[in-house]
Amino acid sequence: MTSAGKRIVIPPRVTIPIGPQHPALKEPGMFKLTVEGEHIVDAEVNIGYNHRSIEKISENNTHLQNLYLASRICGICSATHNGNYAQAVEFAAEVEIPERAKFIRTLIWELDRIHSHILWLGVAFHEVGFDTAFMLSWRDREIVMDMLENISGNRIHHDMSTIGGVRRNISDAQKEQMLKGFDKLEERVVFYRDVAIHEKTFWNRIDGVGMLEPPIAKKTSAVGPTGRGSGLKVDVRFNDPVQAYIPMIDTGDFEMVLSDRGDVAGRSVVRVLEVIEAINMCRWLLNNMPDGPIRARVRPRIQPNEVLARHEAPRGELIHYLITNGTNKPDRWKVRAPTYNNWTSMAHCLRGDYLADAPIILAAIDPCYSCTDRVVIVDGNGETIRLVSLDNLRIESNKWHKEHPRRE
Amino acid sequence: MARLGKIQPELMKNVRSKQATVRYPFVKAGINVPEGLRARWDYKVPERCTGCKICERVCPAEAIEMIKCRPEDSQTKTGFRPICHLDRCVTCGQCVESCPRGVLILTDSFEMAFLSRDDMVVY
Amino acid sequence: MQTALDATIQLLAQALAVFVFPGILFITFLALLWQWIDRKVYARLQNRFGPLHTGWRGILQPLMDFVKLLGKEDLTPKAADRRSFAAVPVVMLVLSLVSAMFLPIIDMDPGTSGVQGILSFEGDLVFLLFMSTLMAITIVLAGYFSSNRYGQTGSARTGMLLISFEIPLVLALVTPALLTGSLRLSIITHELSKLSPAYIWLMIIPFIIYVISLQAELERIPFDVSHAEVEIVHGWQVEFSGKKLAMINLAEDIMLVFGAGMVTALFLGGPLLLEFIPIPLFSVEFAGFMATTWVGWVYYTLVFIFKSSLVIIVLSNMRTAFARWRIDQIVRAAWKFMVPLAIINLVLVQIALTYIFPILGVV
Repeated sequence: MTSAGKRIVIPPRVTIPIGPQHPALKEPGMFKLTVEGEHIVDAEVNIGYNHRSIEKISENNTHLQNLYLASRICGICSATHNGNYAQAVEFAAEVEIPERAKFIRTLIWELDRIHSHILWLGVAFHEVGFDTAFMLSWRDREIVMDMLENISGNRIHHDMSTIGGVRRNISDAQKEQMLKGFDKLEERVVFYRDVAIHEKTFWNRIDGVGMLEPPIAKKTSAVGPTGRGSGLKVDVRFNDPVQAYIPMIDTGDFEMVLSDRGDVAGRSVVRVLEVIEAINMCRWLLNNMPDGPIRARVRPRIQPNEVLARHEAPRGELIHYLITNGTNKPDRWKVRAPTYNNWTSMAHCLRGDYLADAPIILAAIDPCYSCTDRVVIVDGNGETIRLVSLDNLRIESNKWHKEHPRRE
Repeated sequence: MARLGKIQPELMKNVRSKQATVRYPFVKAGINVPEGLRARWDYKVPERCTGCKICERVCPAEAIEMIKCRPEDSQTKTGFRPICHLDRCVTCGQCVESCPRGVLILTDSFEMAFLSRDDMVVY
Repeated sequence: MQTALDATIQLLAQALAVFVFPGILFITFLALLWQWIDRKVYARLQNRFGPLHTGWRGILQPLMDFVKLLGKEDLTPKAADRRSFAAVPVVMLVLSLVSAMFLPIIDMDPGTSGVQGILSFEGDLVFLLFMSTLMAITIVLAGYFSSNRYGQTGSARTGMLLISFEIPLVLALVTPALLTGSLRLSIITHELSKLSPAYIWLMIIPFIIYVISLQAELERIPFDVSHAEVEIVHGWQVEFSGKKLAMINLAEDIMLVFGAGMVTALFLGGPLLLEFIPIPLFSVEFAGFMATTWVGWVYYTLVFIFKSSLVIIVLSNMRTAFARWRIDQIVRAAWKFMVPLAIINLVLVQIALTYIFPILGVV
């Protein structure tokens, strides 16, 4: 009572780092959370721990070798990078690939989406401590993994697409086996959908958490299930279809899965329903697959061209920008993976929520760290890591390009 | 709407059913190796090899090296033969696809753990 | 000379009781066994095998983990309060062992009626509650002593758990004490076993409340917020390693033994099983035989292990079936649901004892 005025008690602000190494993150990334008690008041997203200079390596490789390099950008969505690079080279060479190859490529993409989304569901269960559903959902993910292994000969790096088509055909026996597998898978996915929606402890953790309002989602250019969970109509499969998506979407049997919830629950529901949709798409693709060759011959030297290949990866829109120069090597290859777009919305999602919600919010955009890391300047002598702003980067890169003119 | 213990019937079902885990290194049964698995590289038909070096050129991981034919090998036309360094091999199978004479193959033996790098060279 | 010999034998027997059979060694054995059962059940419900390769179906795996942790490097953070930091695991282990010694596993004092634990005195129920609260406070201190942000967050959450679930826990224990008019664990067990079966109806709600609160007290899913691994990296345990972590893990397992033993003693009839069959052969002669001879020691132990492992299976099932709740949801659930339920239950018990049971003629 001695001091004049009111005393305002504020809990001390503490900065809690999540990462670079943290049990909630499967890959290195850093999130500095400023918390007051359990409330997050500020969040800072630092990435850049996993730069592998893949784009630089690609300039010394042939297009054929780059296919395998592209598939190893990310383990989970390897088919999308692989297929999208093949598509980009085909666009540049201006060749049309056989119908059956288109169908098989699309089938692999959809299978990849199924396994990626079930994997995400398991991770989401794990992030809120629901280990049983995590174990069970990953057990049932094996069904689709076995399918992919059966078709392509490898569990993770399918490498099915090649320039001018696909590498392996699908036999009738495999088709029957897959159709049988889809029935089981659909039953299981419906069960996990029910668990996610009706299990109170899980639903309480995702309901109303990490709100991303549609205007902010649009402003931060959220893509994929993150955007669709906020009601944005962003899906390259429907907006700008390629390959066998064109006849498939034209049937009108398939719809874009949207949710207007905008929270983590919305994103979860979008992903789970998308799995069911993808299973139906796979069924359609298998049943309507035309006969014919699976591969067109493409000359290794690609004419000079500049193309942009878009594809809906499991995490969102994936862009491969390719400049070819008449040799069998790319002049420039730029990958913009979907997670890179979704980072920006993350800081907004984190603010105002509980510290305990941070892992599930981080996981909700299904981050793929190794796809996204681009620019970080590491000074080996001073042992410092410097993040560079876009303007500075532009100035520095202009300077670099002036000193190193493009080879003709 | 949301209620507690939604997953409980599934748990009871799990108690009755067989475990999903495969006791792999101890019991080999239960793992299904599909036909056409891409695993260990093999120099299958040495007689047909011409030593053209296409496999070396297409390999994205630089795992294939062309060496001079040793006396015990079947001699190729150019006097070179491929060997594979499994530590670098990514089992993409591009060499198998590019080989014009069907010399190479990826077998389905997937157990590729070794104690030294020297053991990982496939002749 | 004879008295000296007798005194020495007496002393040896007591030392044996404290250190070996129902005492420290046996409780440690039970702790490791419970951990194995817990892990096996948890794995079985998830369609996995669980530990397999150490001993028969991996039964020695908890022991191996303990021994392995003993051999690991023991680190103390620079910022930590060194002495307090080193004292925490020891204090926790001692607290849990002392609590577990009250469990009525075998009859240590045949003179008194009922099955007595190693330690037993009038009012020990209150003492045990005090001990378990002290355990939670030690956990809070453990987090703050380690001077780690995750640890401090974990400590704060433990404190929140303490204020939310300690109250239903205590209120649930009031019912058995009320029914028997005693605060001594052994007397409560003994008196409850003599009551008419109609009293089972009064014990159901406190049993459920106690098991749920026990899950919170032991900090297991869905209440494991204070060492949630993906949120705050095992919370207050984050800085402990090597021997200290081994001791903490053992202390937690012993608390599991203690918790399951309390449920057994207070709600499931303690180490009595066949005595409940309403035939004189069992309820009189068999009970008398077991209470007076050494066969009782084996029998009581086996029954105790059997009943406790049933409790462990229930607790493991709870751990399997739920996701982790957020701390605010836990506090809300505790104060909006558990505490009112416990209070209503007490009122119901009073009404039943005063009005309903006399009308029905239940003795």
